[in-house]
Amino acid sequence: MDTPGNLLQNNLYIDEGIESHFKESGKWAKYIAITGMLFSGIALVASFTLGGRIEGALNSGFIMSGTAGFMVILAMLLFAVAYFILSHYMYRFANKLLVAVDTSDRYEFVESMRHLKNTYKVMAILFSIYFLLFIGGSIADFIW
Amino acid sequence: METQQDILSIDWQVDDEVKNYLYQTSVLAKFVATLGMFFAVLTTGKTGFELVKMLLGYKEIFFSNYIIGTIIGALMAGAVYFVISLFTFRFAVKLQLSVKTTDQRAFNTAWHHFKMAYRSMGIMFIIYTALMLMIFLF
Repeated sequence: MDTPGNLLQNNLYIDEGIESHFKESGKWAKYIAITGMLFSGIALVASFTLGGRIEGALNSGFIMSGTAGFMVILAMLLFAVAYFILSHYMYRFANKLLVAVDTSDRYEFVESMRHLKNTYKVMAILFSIYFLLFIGGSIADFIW
Repeated sequence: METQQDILSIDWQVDDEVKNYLYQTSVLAKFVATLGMFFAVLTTGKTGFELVKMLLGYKEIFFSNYIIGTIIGALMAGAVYFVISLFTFRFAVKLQLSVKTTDQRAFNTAWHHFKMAYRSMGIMFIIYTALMLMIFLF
């Protein structure tokens, strides 16, 4: 909650209101991160099992696409690894934040904020790559 | 001398190291959110356009119903993704403002938007997981 004292201060404070936001955000972030890691694991397994079938289908019959099948497996693998890294950073952020709120540990709080920054950094890199691929694909679609 | 109880009762002060992390987070979050909103509109539009093109190619009602369902699904996914990006954008803007001007009210609002973004994302993940399980089981 904002107190007049806080509003007049020269610094920002983590008050009770923000702590409650942290608790809920931390729980959601932990759930999202665990689900994300599970999904990336499924994607990793699928890249080895379904990927082989896709490669077989793309390299057989009259299509004979050459490297297309390999590219599909590589894309699935890269997606799984990138998504796991992102989920891992998010998990570390959520875990540290919840510990910081529960134990009022400043060090854990600073670490959680560092991991939050890293989460968004990884997200920004992945989004940029995905966006460039999407734009490139759309332009290629338009030309051909 | 500060006791354990005193430390727990005092509001935490955001020091310069955390402020630096928060500022960098706000810049990155703003970029991610802007790209996300743009991407949500672009992909939904493109998916809708492609599906309508497909729909015009099929005359059977069976295919039409299936494709209409897919269009609605794609539009809903796009809308949810847009909302999540919007909350993230608001979080980033308020956080940046609070760090720059030491505005406690903006700081509180920023974390409220952050919570809303993660709550929306969490609900979306629950629905997505349930759908995946249903597809896998049936």
